[in-house]
Amino acid sequence: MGMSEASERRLRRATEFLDIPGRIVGKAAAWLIVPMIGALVYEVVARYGFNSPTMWAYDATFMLYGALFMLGAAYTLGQDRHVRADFLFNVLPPRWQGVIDGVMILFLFFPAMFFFTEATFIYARTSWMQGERIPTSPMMPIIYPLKAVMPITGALLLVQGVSELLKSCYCIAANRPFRDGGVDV
Amino acid sequence: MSDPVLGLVSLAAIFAGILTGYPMAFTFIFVSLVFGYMGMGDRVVGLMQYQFFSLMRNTTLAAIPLFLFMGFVLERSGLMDRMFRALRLLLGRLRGSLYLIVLLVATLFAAATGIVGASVTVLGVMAAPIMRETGYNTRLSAGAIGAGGTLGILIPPSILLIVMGPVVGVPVSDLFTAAIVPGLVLATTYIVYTLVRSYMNPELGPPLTSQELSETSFGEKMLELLLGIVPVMVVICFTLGVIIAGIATPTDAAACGALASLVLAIAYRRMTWKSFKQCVFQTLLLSSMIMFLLGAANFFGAVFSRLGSADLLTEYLLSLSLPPTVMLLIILFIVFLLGSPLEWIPIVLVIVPIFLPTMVEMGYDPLWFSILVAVTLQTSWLTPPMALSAYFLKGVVPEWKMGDIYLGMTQFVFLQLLVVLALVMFPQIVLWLPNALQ
Amino acid sequence: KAQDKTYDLNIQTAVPNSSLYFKLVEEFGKSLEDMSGGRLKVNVLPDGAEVAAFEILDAVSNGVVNAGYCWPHYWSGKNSAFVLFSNVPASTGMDQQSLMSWYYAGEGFDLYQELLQEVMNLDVVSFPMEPMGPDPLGWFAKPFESMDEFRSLKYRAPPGIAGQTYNAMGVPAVAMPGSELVPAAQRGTIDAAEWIGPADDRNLGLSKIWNYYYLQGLHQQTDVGELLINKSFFEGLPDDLKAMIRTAVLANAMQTQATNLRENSLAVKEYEEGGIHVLDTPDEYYQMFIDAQNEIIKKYLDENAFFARVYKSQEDFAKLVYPYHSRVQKLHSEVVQGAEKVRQGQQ
Ligand code: NA
Ligand code: NA
Repeated sequence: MGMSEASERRLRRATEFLDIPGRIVGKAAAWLIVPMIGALVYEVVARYGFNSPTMWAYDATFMLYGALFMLGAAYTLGQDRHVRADFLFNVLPPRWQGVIDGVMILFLFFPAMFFFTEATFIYARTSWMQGERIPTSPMMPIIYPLKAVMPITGALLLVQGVSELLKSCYCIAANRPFRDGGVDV
Repeated sequence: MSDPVLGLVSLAAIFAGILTGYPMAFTFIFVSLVFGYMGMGDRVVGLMQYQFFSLMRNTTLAAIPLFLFMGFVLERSGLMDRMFRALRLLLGRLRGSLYLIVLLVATLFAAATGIVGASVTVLGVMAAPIMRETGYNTRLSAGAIGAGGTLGILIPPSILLIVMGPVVGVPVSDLFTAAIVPGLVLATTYIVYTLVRSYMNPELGPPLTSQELSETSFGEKMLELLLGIVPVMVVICFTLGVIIAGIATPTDAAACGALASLVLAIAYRRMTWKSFKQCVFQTLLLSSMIMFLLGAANFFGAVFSRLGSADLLTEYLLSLSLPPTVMLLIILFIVFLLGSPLEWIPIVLVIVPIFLPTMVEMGYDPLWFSILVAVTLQTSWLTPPMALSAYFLKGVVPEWKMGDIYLGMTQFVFLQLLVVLALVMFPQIVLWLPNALQ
Repeated sequence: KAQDKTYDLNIQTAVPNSSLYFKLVEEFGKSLEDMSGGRLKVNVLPDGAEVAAFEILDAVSNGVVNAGYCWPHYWSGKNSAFVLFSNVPASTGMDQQSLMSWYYAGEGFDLYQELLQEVMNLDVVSFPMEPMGPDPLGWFAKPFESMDEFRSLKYRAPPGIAGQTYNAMGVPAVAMPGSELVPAAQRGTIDAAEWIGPADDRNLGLSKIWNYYYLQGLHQQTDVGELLINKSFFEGLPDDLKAMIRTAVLANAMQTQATNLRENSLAVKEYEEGGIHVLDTPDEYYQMFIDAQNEIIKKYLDENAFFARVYKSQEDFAKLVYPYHSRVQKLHSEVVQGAEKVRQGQQ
């Protein structure tokens, strides 16, 4: 079983297209680290230097950090950076790696992420309708945008999963790893 | 199928899922959903929502991406590599010198922060490249980083002890004091172990060759010390120092450290726009990997403890009437055993309260007993299937095989258990400092 | 037969095992089991065992657990009116005793069920069960004699309206999760912190770090631990079991009041013997706090009609009881102080 150049091109175009949402959102979320550093350094200077701590730095911190790692999950999947225990996986030929990935994506990843997205969507929607604020902070800022990050993460992962499924089909058909190694950043 | 049996089957499913080599975060979520659904119906999704959201709003864990970013800046700019090379040069013929450096940095890290994810990953980012390049033994390197990184939850401040205090009814500040000496004993044990093994077999941690040594003059060494070691050390010590000096919390300090390393890298003209972007994106990839995995593992922990297998086992063993010492060892063994599928949180919150009354009734000091549990619980980060230290490390150093990482960690699990035994036999190791300070 | 059916009540609490209030919930469960002859089986879970504290209300409503123990102000992020049901602003004039009277002899209980079930649409009934206020001002690294001195201290403030009030008073209020308190206190990142109460504060060990303890604070001068039960579950219970729950709640309220006074007093005695200075809050604090809080409250009164309604009900209640209550309060104070004076004189 092999794969014609034309169909390989088509498949790569399709995965590139499907990778777009995860990549754009992930790379954008990555930059949240910059305001996070800014907010906390400001807080330390204000608190230690001027004895006037801010009321917002800690809220800003967890919101930026929570959004950062969740919104990056799909991009991380696209880069194959979610940890695998590879003792058996890595000794298999690419074709069998593709079979394992394909089966797991269809029967494990998709159902899990479907329920993750659905459940967190309801969770976020309830919070949104209540106009929910977070009671652990003096400022009590609104919290539903952060909760909304969860279903967005789920949806991005589902789209990314389709791309990963195509990648595993490639491995099965071509018996070659889809990625040439190295991370694209 | 009864719930506790379901719990045991879910454990088998987790093992099988990990073996397939599919990214385990998703395996954990799937298995938790399936077995949670069988045990408690669709309410299981509630546990999932709460576990992920409580991770997202945790300012203490927000230190992880910040420390990672700092690590990447120091690594990408080549400053870290230069520092490790310089330190190795200084330590010259000492076999396994990098183990010594890694474990000392890990101990310093542990004294500054109370969480595990940060130190394991940052040490992986900073030290693994040079350990690989200089031919250090993979297993021993992985074990040293993984086990060294877990010291963070024992040596105060420690999030584990903070949670444990109100559970056992011992002031957190007393637990902190009591954990210092055992934590240092553990760190020393690791150092002695790696150095002795390297001494016996130089291939595990090759020292500099005579040729390399003769190539560098004394003056060059001093110059490297000045330019290669001092600035990076200043940044690292500044970051960890502001925490210890009380100027900043670990999360604050991680941000200050990230800024300071950035300034240092720019001052050394080692930071281009391109490498800055790489640091930003690498931080994202690793943070997502770590935190998503942590969320998934916590979700499994919540489901597993809900199914009640752990309680059942514990209650059964408590119902046997055994002499106190045997009972103590059995309890510690249960803690060790449960640390394999569970993280420390459900063990501290659900399991410790079950046997705490028995221990107190048998006349054991709650302070000493709590520290014994805490030291034993450190193994939970290193024992599969939920060996999070191993998985974090694997995420940072994909070149290391998971099998090697597991085998490396196993050696250190044995060391930890030896230290637990030492604490059982010589309670003074735990109690001396708190009594001296009273 | 309905009479033989047993029911499990899983109470997810927001307190750790060693807490005074955890033990009181356990006693509540034990007496329910005894009263019902085992038809109700009660399982009391420590904080975080299944659901984290701030998720308990949703978890009870969704049936993840069928009961919970927490404090109404924990839900003030969902609707600002929740704060009024436990952490009543001092500006209303309500104290702990008035609050319980408002709940069980006034409009309080019904207003609370209305908020939960009609305004918030939750499948929950709540029984205010453990009156545990007031919360102390907290632990301090050094004493302060004036509000100006207080303003030089980095104070770990409580969240919500209370934190906003301290901020408005010019106190450098640090927002810090409880989990970072001990290391931050040991290292001097903060100079002062409020926590729970004398007895429960022992478990954190702030008394080993700081030597000054101020018992009088207004930010949480009232507090009530509530028993939350999934409403569908509660309504599915036979009438006798429902009545047992209601009765056990009231009995537990009495027991809490008794235990609270004795245990906290024992703890304070222990602190003083251990060299802790238990100090009085400067007089100017009280009026300054109430004035600042009045300003903060205005926004909530304008924004939330239900908040305004409850606040009005509490103000009216405070006004109603004032002529009687204030004089009885004076009497209480005279009894306590007068007897102490006699004891001092005898020495
Ligand atoms: Na630590
Ligand atoms: Na484990």
